[in-house]
Parts: sequence; structure tokens; C-alpha cells
Amino acid sequence: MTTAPAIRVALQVSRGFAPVIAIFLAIVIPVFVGVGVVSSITDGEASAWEIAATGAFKWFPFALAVLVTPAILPMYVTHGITRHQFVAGAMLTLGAFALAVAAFLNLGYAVEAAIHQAAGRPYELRSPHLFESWTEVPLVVAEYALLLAALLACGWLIGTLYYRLHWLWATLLIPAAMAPAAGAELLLQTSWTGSWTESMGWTRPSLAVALSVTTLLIGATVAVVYTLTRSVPIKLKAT
Amino acid sequence: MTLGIEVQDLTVRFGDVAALDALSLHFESGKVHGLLGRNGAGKSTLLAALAAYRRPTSGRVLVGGEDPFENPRLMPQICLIRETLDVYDTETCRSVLSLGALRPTWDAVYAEELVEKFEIPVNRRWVTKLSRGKKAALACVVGLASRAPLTIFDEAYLGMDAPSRAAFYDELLADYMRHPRTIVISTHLIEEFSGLFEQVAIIDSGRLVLQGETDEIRARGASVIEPAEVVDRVAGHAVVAERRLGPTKSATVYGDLGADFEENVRSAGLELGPVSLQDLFIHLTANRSVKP
Amino acid sequence: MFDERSPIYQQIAEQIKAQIVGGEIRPGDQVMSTNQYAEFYRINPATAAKGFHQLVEEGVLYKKRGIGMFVSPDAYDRLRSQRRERFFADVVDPMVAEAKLIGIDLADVVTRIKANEEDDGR
Repeated sequence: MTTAPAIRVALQVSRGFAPVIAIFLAIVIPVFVGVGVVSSITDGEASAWEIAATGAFKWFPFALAVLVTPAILPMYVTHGITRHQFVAGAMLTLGAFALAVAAFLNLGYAVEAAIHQAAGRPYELRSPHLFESWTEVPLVVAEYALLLAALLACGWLIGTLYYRLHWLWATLLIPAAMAPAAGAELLLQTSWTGSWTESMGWTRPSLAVALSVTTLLIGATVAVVYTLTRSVPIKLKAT
Repeated sequence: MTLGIEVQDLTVRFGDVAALDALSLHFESGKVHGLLGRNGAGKSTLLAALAAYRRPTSGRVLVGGEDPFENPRLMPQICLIRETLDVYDTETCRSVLSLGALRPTWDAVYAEELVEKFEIPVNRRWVTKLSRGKKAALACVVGLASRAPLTIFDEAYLGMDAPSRAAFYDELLADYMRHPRTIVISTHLIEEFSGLFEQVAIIDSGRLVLQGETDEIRARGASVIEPAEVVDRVAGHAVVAERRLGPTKSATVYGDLGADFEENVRSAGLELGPVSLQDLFIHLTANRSVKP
Repeated sequence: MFDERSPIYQQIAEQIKAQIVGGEIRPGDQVMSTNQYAEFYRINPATAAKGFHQLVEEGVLYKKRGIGMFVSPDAYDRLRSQRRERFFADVVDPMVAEAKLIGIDLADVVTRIKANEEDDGR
């Protein structure tokens, strides 16, 4: 092969997801624009985009990640890709996806802030974040990228558990599989978990510690996915 | 370049059931092989192990002398096509075909030709929305266009009607002559496909019953027909089946019949008939009750 | 097209021999390649090749490297004389046995044969 197989896998998987993502965006963006317009008539201060960032833009990608192993792995093995190559490619795809979403969210904030400014209204973010203002681009991107990457890794893990194990075991293991995502939220002290720990008086560790431990958690989750996938049998789907 | 297959004492267990039980066989490279076996004999499990879909519980699979499992050099050269094409529900036909390009040997132009030839409506359509016959045809297109040095069809054409199967047969034969490779076909349609097979392997209950050149195996079977008492005298060889109709008896024998077998039979006034590969298969795998 | 009576490659060889004796292919003619044969009769080319190989062994065909298979110059004569040798044992004797089995007088058979001869003469 002229290009590394993992990269080819990443490209193909991205192409595969592109239509679904396009539909998602086509639905979500108008909805939140609508919400923003409505809320500007009523309250006017809170960021609607922030809600989108902690809602739709988390769980939709999560759903896609759950599907990665059961829906896509068999097809790739059928076309001659090894499981190792697939895991590497999927990791690249999901990582790039997390970064892309984070950058997109940042852009969304910028647009929303501009709208608020033009309307002469103050602009407020309601939940705790790593960043003070959306203009701190590296922090915004770091926060959202890491949170989403953790969530994607957990989703990927859950899908893999269902593919590899009996559905009963997989279901019982869901809480354990979601722990890394919860841990990321705790460490970075963001969104609801963040509000809760903040109100409890707990301060998050230093930025460097928070970022690196979160990254380790994500790495560990992917390592588990790799261990589960590397010799998994490809079973015939019932028609 | 083609790949030969060597299977040594292969055992694959599901729980405490051995789908394959210390199976050993050898598929010579560059030939078209038929794999015959009853339902549940272990054909699909064997083919899954050859294609690295599954790891053996014990024993070895060697393709081109190497273990194919998670082998990045070998896996792109092995293409296993099963009836459902292992596709997700919302996969489009076009994306299935574009994934084919992941193989170095994939011929996209040939794939398009085949899609037209088999009249598969691939544009703007999900795979699951195809009829059963067209789904099978698409699967066969992927298998053919892959031009993989080891191409395996696991009853992939089951959903196709007879004319489509004939078209697939002819296309497979033609492309095999254009681009020689090792092809393994597992099938229940023995008589329909036996012309393709240079060699045939019969497995039963996870073990090899017999393997050899198709013509040789056919030549070892014969059916001896005539008055019952006379047949009993002559058919000293391994009798694998018997039928009676009034005073007439037909005994199917199998084995190294020997040069004078025919003479002995005829001189005893008996009729000697041939046995089709399918009948031989039925008789040789009949020593147990029918599996559900 | 092929039955299970004998190995397919043998049936192919017999078919080609019959075509030679029947004059459809003549000594010196090139025969179809194994691939063409395989495609036409819908069989594995190796089976066709085996049939050809048998004919080469028997001297009925010979191979010109890089070009193809050709009918040996003496193939027609040889095959014809082989069939003549076997004619009485393979054709006449069974006919006599059949006639006896169904109770036909051999004299009637001879009469019929003579009548055929006269028809041909005309």
C-alpha cells in the first residue's frame, strides 16, 4: 500500500460517517439558532450554544463511537484490514473528530458572542470551564477535545464490549466503561459534575495535572479497546 | 502469485462443542477447490479460520506458508465472501464497492462491469434494501473483483436464482482463466458446480472424510444393479448404500475398485452404473442421523 | 453434456477422437485451446488439459510450443484402424446377442444388412 493502512482506514471511516454528520449538523444548528433567537426574546444573557456543547455535541458523537466496532470492524476485516490496523485508524478518526468538534464549538461561541454583542446584550456562560472567556482558544479546544475524546473512547469501549462479550456482561460493565468519561469531567471540573464539585468546595488540580491525567485515562481506555479487539472473531451476522 | 493452504490438526471449539476436530487438509495453490459438507459439518468455521476471521483453538492454519491471523501481508490477499457480506444496516452499495479499494489487487473497472452484468442497482441504495438475489450478486461481485490470490466463496450465491448462478459460474470460470488464483467454494449445489472443481474435499463432523481430484473420486464410486443374490456375491467392496425394488437390488460401492471389477461385474451379468458426485457425497456422509 | 459414466477428461478425449474419425477435424488442424474448451463446455481448464494430455500420450495430438495443440498427421488413420479392430467385438457381437435375446433370426439380420448395402449403392 502506498499510504499507511491506518491512515487509509481513518480516511475511509471518516468518509463513511460524513453523511450522517452532515445530517446531524443540518438538524442541530437550525435548532440552536432557533433556541438562541427565542431566548434572546425572553432571557437574553445565557449562552444557548453552551447547552448544545454539553448536549447534542456530546451524545451524538458518543452514539457514533458505540457503533464503531460492531458496525464497521467486520466490513474492514472483510476487505483485508487487520484488527490492529483498524484500531489504529479508528483511533485517528475519533481523535481527529474530537479536535474538529472542539474547534467547531469554539467557532460557534464566537458567532454567538458576535450576535449577542450586536444585540447589545451581555454574554454569559453558566457552567464552570477551564476557560474564562471563549476567546482563550487553546483552553476551549483542550477542554472540549479532551472531554469528547474521553466520551468517544468510552463509547467505543461499550460497543466493543457488546461485540465481544455476551450482551448481559456488556450491560453490567457499562458503568465501569463510562468511568473514564466521568473522571475527565471531574478532573477538568466542567459542566454538571463541575458545578457539583465546585459547590462542594473542591478545587481541581493544576491544569497540567488535569490535562495529563485525563489524557492517560483516555489512553488506558483505548488500550482496553485494543486488547478486546485484537483477536476478536468476526461472526456472521444473522440475516 | 497464488497461495496454497495447509491445515494441520485444526480444532475450533465453541464452548465444549468442537466445530472442527483435529482437521488436516491441503488445498493446492492455483486450483479451484470444492468444499462439501452437510449443514453443521464445519465448512464455514474452516473457511473463517482460513480467512483469519477466527483464531484456532489449537492446530495451525498456513496460507502461503504463514499464519494468516492478524498478518498484514496476508490478510489483504485473502477474500472471504459469505452470504450476508458482513455489512452494517445503513451501508450503501457504493461505499461497499469503494471499500474494495483497500485491497491492492482490487479491480474497480471490473467491479463496474460486473455490477452492470448482474444488473445490481448500486446507486443511492442501501445494501439491505437489495433483494436477496441482488445482495448475493453484490457479494459475488466483491469476491470476483477483489482478484485476491486466495478467494473463498462460502455459499455466497445461495440467494441467487438459477440463471444468475449460471452467470456467476461462467464469470468465475472466465476470470479464473484470465487471472489464475486459488479459489475455494463451499456449496450444497454439488452437481451444479462440480464442473468447476479441480479438487474436492468432503468434511463431516469437523473432520476430513475425503479429498482428491474430482474425476478420481467419481471413478471410485459405482452402482451395481441386478438380481439381488447375484449382487451380494459380486459386491465384495465397501458397500455404502443399498436399495431394493422387488427382485432387483442396487448396491453402491466405493473404493479402489481395481481394473477387473468392471469385468467381474459384467461377466456376472450385472449392470454397472455410474454414481454422481452428489450421490457419493450423500452416501459417504450418511452414517449418522439427520441433523436438525 | 458429460455424464458420470467415466471421468470427464476421458469423455473429452473420446469426443475429440470422434471428431477426428468423423472428419470434423483433420490431421494438421489446430484444436481449441484448453481454455477455449473449458469455457465452451463450462468445465475447469485443468480437466480439459487432462483430456488433451491423454490424447498427446496416445499420439493423437501433439503440442507446438507457444502455438497450441494440433492433430497428429497419422491420427485419423490410427483411430480409424483402432475402431475397425474393435468393431466386431464392440458393435457386431452385442448386436447378435441382442437379436438372440429378442428372438430375431440372424438370417433376417443379414438380409437387412444387404438391403442397406444396396441402398448405399444407389
